[in-house]
Amino acid sequence: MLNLIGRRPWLMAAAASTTVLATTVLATTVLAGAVLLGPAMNAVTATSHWDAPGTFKDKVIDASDLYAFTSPDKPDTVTIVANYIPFQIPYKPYQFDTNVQYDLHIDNTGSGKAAITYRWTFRNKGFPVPSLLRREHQAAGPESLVEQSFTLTKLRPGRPDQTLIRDGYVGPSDMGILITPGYQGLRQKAVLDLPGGGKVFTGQAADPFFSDNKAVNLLRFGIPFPPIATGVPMNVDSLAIQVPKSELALGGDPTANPVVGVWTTAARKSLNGEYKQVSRLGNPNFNEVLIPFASRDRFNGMRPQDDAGSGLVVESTRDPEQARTVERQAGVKAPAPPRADLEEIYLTGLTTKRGGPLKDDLNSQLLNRDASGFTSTEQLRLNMSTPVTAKPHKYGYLKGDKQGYPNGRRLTDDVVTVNLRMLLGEPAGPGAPGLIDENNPVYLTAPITGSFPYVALPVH
Amino acid sequence: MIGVLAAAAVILGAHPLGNMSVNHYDGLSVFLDRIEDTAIIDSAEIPTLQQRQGASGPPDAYAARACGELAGAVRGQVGEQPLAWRVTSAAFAYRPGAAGLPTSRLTCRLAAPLRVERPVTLTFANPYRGGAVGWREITASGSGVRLSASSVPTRSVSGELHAYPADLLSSPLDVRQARFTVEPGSGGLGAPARVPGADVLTRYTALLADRLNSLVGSDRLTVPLGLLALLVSLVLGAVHAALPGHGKTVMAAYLAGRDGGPRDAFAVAATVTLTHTAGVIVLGVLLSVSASIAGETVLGWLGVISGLLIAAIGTALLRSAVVRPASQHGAADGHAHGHGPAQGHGHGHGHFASSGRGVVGLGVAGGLVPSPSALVVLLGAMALGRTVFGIVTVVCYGLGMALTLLAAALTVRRLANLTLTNRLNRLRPYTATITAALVLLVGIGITARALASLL
Amino acid sequence: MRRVRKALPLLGCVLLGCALLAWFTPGAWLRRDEPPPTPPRRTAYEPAAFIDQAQDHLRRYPGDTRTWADLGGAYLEQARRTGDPAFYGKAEGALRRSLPHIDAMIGMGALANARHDFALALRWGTRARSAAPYRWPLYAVLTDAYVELGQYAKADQVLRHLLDGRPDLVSFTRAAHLFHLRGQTARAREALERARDIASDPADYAFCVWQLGELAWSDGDPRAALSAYTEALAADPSHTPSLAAKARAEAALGRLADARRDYADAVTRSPSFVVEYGELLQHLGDRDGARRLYAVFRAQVRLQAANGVSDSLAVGRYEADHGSPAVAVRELRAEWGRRRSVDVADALGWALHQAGRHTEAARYAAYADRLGGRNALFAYHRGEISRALGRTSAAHAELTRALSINPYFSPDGPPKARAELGGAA
Repeated sequence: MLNLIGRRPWLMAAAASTTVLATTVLATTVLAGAVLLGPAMNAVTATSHWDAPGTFKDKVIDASDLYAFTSPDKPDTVTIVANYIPFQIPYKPYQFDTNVQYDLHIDNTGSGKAAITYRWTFRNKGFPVPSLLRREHQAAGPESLVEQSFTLTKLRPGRPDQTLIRDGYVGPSDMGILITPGYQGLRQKAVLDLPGGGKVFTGQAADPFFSDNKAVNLLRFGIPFPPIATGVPMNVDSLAIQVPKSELALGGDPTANPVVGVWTTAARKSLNGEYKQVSRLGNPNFNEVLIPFASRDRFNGMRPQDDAGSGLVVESTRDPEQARTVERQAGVKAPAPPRADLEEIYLTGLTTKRGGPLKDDLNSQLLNRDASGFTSTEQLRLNMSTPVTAKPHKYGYLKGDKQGYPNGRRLTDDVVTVNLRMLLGEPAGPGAPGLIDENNPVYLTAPITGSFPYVALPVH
Repeated sequence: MIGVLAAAAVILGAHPLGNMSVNHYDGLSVFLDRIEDTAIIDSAEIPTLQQRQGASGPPDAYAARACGELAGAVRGQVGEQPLAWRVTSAAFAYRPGAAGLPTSRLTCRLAAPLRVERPVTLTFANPYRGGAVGWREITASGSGVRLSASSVPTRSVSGELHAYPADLLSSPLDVRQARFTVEPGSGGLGAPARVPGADVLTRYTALLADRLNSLVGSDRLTVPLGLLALLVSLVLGAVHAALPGHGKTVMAAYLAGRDGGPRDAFAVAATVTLTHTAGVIVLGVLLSVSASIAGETVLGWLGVISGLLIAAIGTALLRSAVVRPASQHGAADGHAHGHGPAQGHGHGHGHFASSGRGVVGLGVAGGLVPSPSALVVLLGAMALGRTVFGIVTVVCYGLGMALTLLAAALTVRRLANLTLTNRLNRLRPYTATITAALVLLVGIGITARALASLL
Repeated sequence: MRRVRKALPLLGCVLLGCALLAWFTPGAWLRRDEPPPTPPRRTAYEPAAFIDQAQDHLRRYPGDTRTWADLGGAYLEQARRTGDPAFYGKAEGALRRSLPHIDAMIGMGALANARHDFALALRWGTRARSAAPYRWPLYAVLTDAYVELGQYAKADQVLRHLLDGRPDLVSFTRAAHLFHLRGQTARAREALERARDIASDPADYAFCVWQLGELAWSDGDPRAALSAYTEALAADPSHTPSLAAKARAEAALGRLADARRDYADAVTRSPSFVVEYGELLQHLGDRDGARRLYAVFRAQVRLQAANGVSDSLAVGRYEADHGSPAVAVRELRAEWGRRRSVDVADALGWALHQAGRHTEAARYAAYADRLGGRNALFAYHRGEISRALGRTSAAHAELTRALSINPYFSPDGPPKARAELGGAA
């Protein structure tokens, strides 16, 4: 602890002052490089070839966050929220891809195979967005321009697919009072009842993601985007569902089989008509922190049932590269690999039945009385029998709040900080709890609401 | 080796921005009665060739024609009024480029009449040959007028299209429009007189102030960084006080003339620090709360108040010196100055109605005008949510100022003691009058200068 | 003075107090409590905004390899979009700084493709594939390189892998290109429409719509093509290929004033279209205008040569029609030695024909048709070569085919073809 405070600030000060130096050195190098690189630096290119986009950020299939928690106002139900299309700028229209299947998968046996899949598919009701983008000056058109409808299907292996919602209303992008007047009403219109109990919401919402900037930088330093201040007021498109626990539990019995695992995938139709999985998200930060950069695309296309045999998922979790980076950056020490603790947290769930370092029967499907075929898979695991905490702690399980992340994930959990601390050894060992100030005033961009779908109205 | 040299030679020849590029620069200079635009077009090899094909006759004729087209294309507006540009000079020259093909440089000087009698907003746009790829840069400066809220810098980063930055972390400039406010007066953002002509002290202070800003705004403000920021602000404060306009002369003369002793000096220092800190904070809060307050104007008025205050003190001093010359201390007493605390306590009551008030008054006058750099630091810190740290920085800044003033006062006092004992003992009876007159004069001077900057 | 000395420690204590207070107070004042109040109105999904943010980030963390690689990729994309070659140099600098990061290798490959060094692009792509076989964008680099090198079977194979792994705008546009080369117009259109629906950014959207226009154009529908080009320009007014293509379509529809205006605009933005414009002017009888444009092309070639870049395909095509067929043959033979694409085969066949070596020409012309593409210009070239060889019926068939595919394939080709068909009949 003392060592931490003693070393870190100097490290940072050194880093800051070397920045100036490094910039100077950089500028000199660049100037020198301009001469030494020779013809390559010249601004001349040949033109008689076919030149198509090579880098492309595919945001419609980009799942930013997944939440799963016991509904605080309806404790016999579970709410699952998957957020797609992140960093939406207010007043601009965004739409789901009509050639993509957006899935929420529930695994109640721990086999990595989904027992239940909720699948959203979309249809355009107006023109697709690009034609609108081109006519931004005419944006004051009818609301229907940006509207989509969705179909929600429930898939279970060995049973016929069940269409839960047909032509459901998608809460459109909030384009301001001229184009989408009475937005509160549109939000209400997008909350639909499911046959057999439960609710679904599909549409735009304020991005509930928040975290400590420092935690984000440390955990993700050198990864995807240069610093985007966390808690920046932007919007996402949410797929939210609230269903009775009995519907998700193995054998319909949440008392005997209380644990479920959740992940979301997006699959796009290729030219041959087949749908190919292009994105996968279970535990927050798992792909971008624990999986090495070169294999992240691969993870996005993998099914959980293949995790154990992949040579990637288990191995990367046991010996995460990023732990060494954070050690270097922050001057702290992470436990030596193999990291049985991380394996238990992310791949099996916490249980005493596998002899892992975390001795707590918390959220592994092995706790389900009737489960069989268990294998190591990466999913967001929720024990539906954990009672709702009256005053949730943002660091969840690390602070003894057993209903919090990594036992599912609530909208108020600061998962980045929790993941950082778990990467550094908590809760199995002492870790580095002081690295992120626990009293930091990190906050939700927009306050969540007390009832389904909980996510706030889009920000402006 | 030869390969490297050959490559370097190729580099020197080729246009750095591509041989299709047409690069534009507009250097705007605003005067009280006109605006001038130095418009430069640096064309790479291919556009030069295209333009040569189209041109007939001597380069001068081409230059005149091209500048005429350019003058017709550029748009300028004062408020709602469009500016009427005319060409005052036109020049065109080829320069050797790559592969034996020339590049070219067209320089047009345009002018348009303008009256700057009150603050006006100027907009400028150059859409001439807007389709071509290339660097586009605009700068704006003023002479005899003050520029503010300018969207463009005062100086060209490309050296007027002579040296394009090759930095990997900057994109080619693409500035096609400019907008700024001009008003009569000098200084302010964009006044050339202040940038190149500034004395060494000011220039280094500016560098230090930048450093302080970046320290306070740094992402990870750690203890060593914080301490460094405080130290820098102390130094900045000290330097700020060393610049003219803070009544140091007054303070020094007053403290030397009065037999106040270090105690008074410290009282002055404390007052200066307090006043300055309070001033900066109040002004900072005002500025961040309301966008309608012009910082420069407030500073000007504070300068006036400060000057008047000093003048008032001078008047009071003069009156007490003239009215009660009889109570003036003798030379014998003068030798005792500073020798003991007891003596110090007893002095001064005869000079001015109340010594405390005079000292505090001077301190207030010295600290009343907030230093712009301290203000900037505070505003920056507030914007980052580091208000408290910003205030601590400003306090240190005030302390720095007080230190300089103290040092100046004590030095003069010492010098005065030495000189007086040796040569000018005969003047001793009149020091109070001289001091008072000096204070009054300086007060009037400061007031006049502050008023001049306001009007 | 003694007092001053006494007071100095006091002052020091006050300063130290300030500092300690700032350090130890709970809730630490030394921290930024909130993000700056101004919310950004642009996102990192927009290349220009991404470049700004990445530059800003790298000034603070110059050691962040990953962001250097991303920035290099963004510069590359910006160069492609704006046609501003200054970005290529920056892209290379940023990518070299981040090697051997996987994305830097992919970027170097894409850069090599942009510079017509397809063999180098292939090497970078292969290197990237062995380093990270699941990093999908590398397969786009490989596909492009294989296509330009004329190794179409390998291009197909790589592209199939890409389509299975990551069906997105990048893979769909490549698929469309290969479909088009094989004459599968409907499938090419379908792929482009899918790509267009994914494009969320005006520049990507313009690219897809422009390509849809090119499909319509090469299918002999200048009206549909023109409306596509107009739509592309409405999305991204700076999309020069669409502007030049629009001029070409306008010329085909007889709107010559519009065509001249748009061509003139396009050639100030990019040198790629000067020969095409020159050919139109020549056809319209404006020999001076054409000569000037050809001079610009030759100057461009000299500049490229001075910089160690050569675009032999463009040079060969130009020399065959407007310069020295012998030079064209030399250039294109050299190019054929480097890559065996259908475009090079057609150009070399035509150059050999112009140089009077018709038998050899026929071999290359046949090679150019081997993918079964519906290319009117190739068919016309083949027909002319057959005619020169005295194969009248083959010539008749080829010329008829050329006119049936696209009766506007070049300014002066179709009238000639019609005259020859009329003469033969």
